[in-house]
Amino acid sequence: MDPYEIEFIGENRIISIIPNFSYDKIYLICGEFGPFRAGLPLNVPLWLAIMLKQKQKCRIVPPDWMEMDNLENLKEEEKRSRFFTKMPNAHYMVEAKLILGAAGDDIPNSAEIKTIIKDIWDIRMSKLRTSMDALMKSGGSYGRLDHLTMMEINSVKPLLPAAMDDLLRIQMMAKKPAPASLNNSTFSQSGNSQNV
Amino acid sequence: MTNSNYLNISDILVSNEKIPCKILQDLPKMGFLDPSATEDDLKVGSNVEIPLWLGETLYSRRPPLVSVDLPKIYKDAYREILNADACTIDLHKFAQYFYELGCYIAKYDIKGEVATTLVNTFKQRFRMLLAASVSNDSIGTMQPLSVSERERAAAAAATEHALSAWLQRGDSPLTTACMVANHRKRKRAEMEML
Amino acid sequence: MDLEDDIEFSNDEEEITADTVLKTLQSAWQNERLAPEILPHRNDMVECMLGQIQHMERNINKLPKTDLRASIHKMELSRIKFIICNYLKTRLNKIEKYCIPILNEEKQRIDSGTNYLTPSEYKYAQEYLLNLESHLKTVVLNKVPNNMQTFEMSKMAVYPNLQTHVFLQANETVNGVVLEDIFGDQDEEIDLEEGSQHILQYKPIADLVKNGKVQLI
Repeated sequence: MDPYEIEFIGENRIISIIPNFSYDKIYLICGEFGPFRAGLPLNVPLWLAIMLKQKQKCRIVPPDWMEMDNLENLKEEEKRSRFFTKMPNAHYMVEAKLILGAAGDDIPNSAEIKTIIKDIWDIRMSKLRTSMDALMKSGGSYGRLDHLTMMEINSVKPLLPAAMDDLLRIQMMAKKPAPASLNNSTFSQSGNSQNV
Repeated sequence: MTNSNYLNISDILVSNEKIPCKILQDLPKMGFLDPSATEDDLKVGSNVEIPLWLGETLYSRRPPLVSVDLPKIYKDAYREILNADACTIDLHKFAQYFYELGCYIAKYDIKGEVATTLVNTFKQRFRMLLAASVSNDSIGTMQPLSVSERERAAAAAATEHALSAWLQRGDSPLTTACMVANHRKRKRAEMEML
Repeated sequence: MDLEDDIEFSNDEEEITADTVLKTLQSAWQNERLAPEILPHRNDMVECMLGQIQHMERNINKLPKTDLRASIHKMELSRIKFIICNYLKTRLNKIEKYCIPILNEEKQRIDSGTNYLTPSEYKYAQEYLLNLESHLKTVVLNKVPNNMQTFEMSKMAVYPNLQTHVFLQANETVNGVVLEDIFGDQDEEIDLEEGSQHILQYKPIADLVKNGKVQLI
């Protein structure tokens, strides 16, 4: 899938805004939101928040996870662990990118926050590449990948599944006698098999 | 490597790869298959390089008309190198359809060593695909890859580009503003010239 | 603006909210995009959502053009229309690509009432195959020697690769998914705990995608 499609899916997440206008409840197909009261926070889907922000109709309330302290802990944890840590948000990169892109002025320390989220992303991406190589070396037929977000999973397509397909096809076509055991690989701590 | 089906072009190309065969019966009027032959007929014991599709057909006759030998890249000498460090070999130069041809050829290797080498080579060289997909030197990293490896690496690089384009979008409004400003300046300059 | 939020389902008593329909549709779209084969259609959801969209559009037209609420509703409708269009297009692409096996399998499924295609998709598939055949005849087959003129359906068939590897997240815990060993003697069982994510072959989990126990990601 295209990154923009993943972004589209991530835009359904609910975040908090403070509108500068007042309206009654609005009945959308995806649910009812409001009432909008100028100066009072309320929850709306991310796509709506960004749209209102672009029309200068609201301020975006930075999500809790996007605070510097939380992010620093997260980065340390990500660096320390050989596994992927659980992210506070299944679409953290989409949310960060859209909020920081459209509403940097609403977020204190937005430049630092942008940098540290990108750091976390980079650590995870490099871990992901190492894990992929380990998965292929260990047999490349099954892997567990808890805590990877959709955008991250999408970044290894089509390479990883295609390589696993190729390997399977070579093994079937070349009709080699059975390997010692099914090779499991796990991308995460909670897997039931050996480490990556 | 694509799913093989009747109309698959790369499968057709693979079947055109030359393989070494030994002729087991005299084949009248087939001398043209052997460039070094001086007679019209192909004699028992001649060694020829013929396309895979022809070799397979002649081999499948009862009794077989040819015996199929392994192409060099699948023989001991190369297999040793491949098993030691598959990443050192330029597959594009030595066997651009290494895996695909190997899958057909493996059945002629009774010991099953070709199959093992194919699997090991593929696993080892996966990191070359990873490297090629993120490399700035795409020509250098792509060069030693086989045809199917190049396809995989190119697809991975496309994903990588799409992702970095997504990450960068809207991230540097300054650049855009700058360009717009220059554009306006240019326009003004043009107008002033008139 | 007072917009009716609940839709009543004509074929059963159960009331289902527009929100639920949308979520189901979105997950069907995502699965369809990521599964190698064509999945059972969700025409009930598509029809239902199209009805909602029409209803909503009529209401939007009653609002002044500059009304903020109108642009919010329009934005949401565009998002939903994108999902529906992309979903239907993805299915048509698969129908064209895997036309022959899909038609063969669908004939049996229709007999047992478990069809995957909607009636109009089925018609589309049949016509597509006829067009393909007559095109190939005009362009190539009629001009080659007699013994090569047959349109060989089995050779023309392109099959989806069900052994391809896919990513999934378990919607609920499923125990004992059997991963076949390709040589048939060392099958392995794995458990998919609720919320866990995996990459594995599509074939053993195809039914779990169809019955909603896992979501392709």
